[in-house]
Amino acid sequence: METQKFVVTAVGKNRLEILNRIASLYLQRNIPVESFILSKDRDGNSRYKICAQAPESSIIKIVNQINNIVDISKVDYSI
Amino acid sequence: MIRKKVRGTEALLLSLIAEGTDTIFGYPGGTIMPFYDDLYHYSDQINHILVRHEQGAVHAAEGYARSTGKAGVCIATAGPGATNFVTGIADAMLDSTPLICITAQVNADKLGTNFFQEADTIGITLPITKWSYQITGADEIPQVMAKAFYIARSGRPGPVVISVAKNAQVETTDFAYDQAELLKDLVSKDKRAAADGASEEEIARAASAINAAERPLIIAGQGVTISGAENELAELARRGNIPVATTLLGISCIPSADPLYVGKVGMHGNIAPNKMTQEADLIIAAGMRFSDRVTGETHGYAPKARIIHIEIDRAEVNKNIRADLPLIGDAKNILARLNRAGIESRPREEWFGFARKEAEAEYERIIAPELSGGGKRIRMGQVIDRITKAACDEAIIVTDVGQNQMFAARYARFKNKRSWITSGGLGTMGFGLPAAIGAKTGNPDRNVVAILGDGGFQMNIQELGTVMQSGIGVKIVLLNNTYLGMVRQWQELFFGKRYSFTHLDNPDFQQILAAYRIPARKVTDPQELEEAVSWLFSTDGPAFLEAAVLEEENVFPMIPAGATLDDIIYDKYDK
Repeated sequence: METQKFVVTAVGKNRLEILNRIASLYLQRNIPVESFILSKDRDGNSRYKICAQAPESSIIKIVNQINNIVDISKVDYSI
Repeated sequence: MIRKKVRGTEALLLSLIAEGTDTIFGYPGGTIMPFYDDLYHYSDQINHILVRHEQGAVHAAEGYARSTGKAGVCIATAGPGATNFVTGIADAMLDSTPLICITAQVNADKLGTNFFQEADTIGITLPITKWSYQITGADEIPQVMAKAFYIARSGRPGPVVISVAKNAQVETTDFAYDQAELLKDLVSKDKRAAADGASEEEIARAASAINAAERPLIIAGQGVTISGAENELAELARRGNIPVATTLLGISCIPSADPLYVGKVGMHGNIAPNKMTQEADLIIAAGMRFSDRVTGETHGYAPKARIIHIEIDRAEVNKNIRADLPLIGDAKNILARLNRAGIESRPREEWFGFARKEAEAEYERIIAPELSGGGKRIRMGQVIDRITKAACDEAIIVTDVGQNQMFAARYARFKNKRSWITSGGLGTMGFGLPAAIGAKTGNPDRNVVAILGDGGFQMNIQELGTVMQSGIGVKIVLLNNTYLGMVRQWQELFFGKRYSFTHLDNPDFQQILAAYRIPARKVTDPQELEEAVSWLFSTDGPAFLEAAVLEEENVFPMIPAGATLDDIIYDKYDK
């Protein structure tokens, strides 16, 4: 399947558990992650930004599953 | 409700009670002792069932949850107690079962030191929980418990692990429980999600599609049961005169005798609904996730149909199978709105005629030979048929995994909802006995029957001790064929009958049951089956019936792995 570099950005509370859960979603699918940044934004929320090479269909599924994580308020992806 | 300074463990108990918990399944240990000490004074408010292995506790909590609709609560000590929960937690995650799993943990300041019985419970269970939390101070308890119950029960239910450090158990806190305040953030996120769900326009489009369809098929899954949408489902089917099939986990969301019910889809399902899936021009999928067990090879699934997918979890829509008309939301709500959107009926004589013809063919070719008497050995389907008749289709049936499960799915019949409990997504052997214990605990006035194979029975056989000590009146039926049946079937059909490590050298189960002081009988002659089943139900309290069944029986029909729904195998010569 055709893979491309996608950046997924999720916003939520600052909890290491969330970082772990997001990482697991990539680990489960054996997707190579190039960078994973957890940072604080101006509103005091945390931003989880993952850059990885994968088919778009997998990224869409991952985005939907990240949305189910408790204490994530929004998530989206881009190229 | 504000009390003056309670210990952390009492705060836990008060939180459980505030959430409506009256039953917990558990096993004590060193690190959870403070909790058990306080539990001692609450025995009039909370019924604690002592199991024999923590896996028994978590499966019992699952059986309790699925049969009552309430969250199941189980409790274990730190380290191995918590890790013994893992299989059950994974099972609850895959089958969307609301569970609160409370595990003890070492003192907060000892975390990460490889202290005695320390295991990273949160780390281990992250991928198999909806949410989890490590409580390190008693003040956190009310907020965390309120959040845990809300998350476990809301939306698509699932298991939550709460790990309670020992210091949090013993330190004191001011206990106050105001759910509205504690859940503010979660509730507002869910309200936003609900607002994003199916619009009136989408409902109207779906209703039009239903009215335009000539060969529609409803496939109902566990989501209908979880949502309590049984009446709405039946109403939609009636309004549109639409046949209804269920997935494995959707069984009993519609009465088996309903004239619109055409059977079960899936790998060992009925012929009619599987063939109807391939011929349908519209599929209304309600509360099901298009598991690979249902679809076969996805490229060949439902080639002629548009698909309406009613589903609360957005992540399941367009995951395995296309959703031409997704309707995101709670099944009860969506089905009710569809019912109000002007559903029209059509006679559909040819469509129902097709269903009937396939059902008759299946009956003649597969079912009748399996159920008829006359053979020298008992067939598994006969046992299920006898049980279900003797219980007047009103029993709660709990199964283990394998051939016992598939025969039970094919032959058990149901009048009532929430009467079928089985491990579907994870397919956990050893589930049946403890889950039946949980189901009976939650439904003391109903007959609860565990259908087990000799493999799965032995995986949690120690729970006979739970039955003995608690006196729970569960009826246990063992289909003993001395094999790991389903694997043996595959070895017979696809591996040249090379029975590699699937034959089980079994002990004399009757002696084991006698040692556990549970009334037990063994039946080998098909002529004696009816009387033996009658004995099972007329015996007061727990009872065990072992049926020595035909060893190399196979479950048909079958859609093997790698095949599409067009390639149904009817018997072992049919490959």
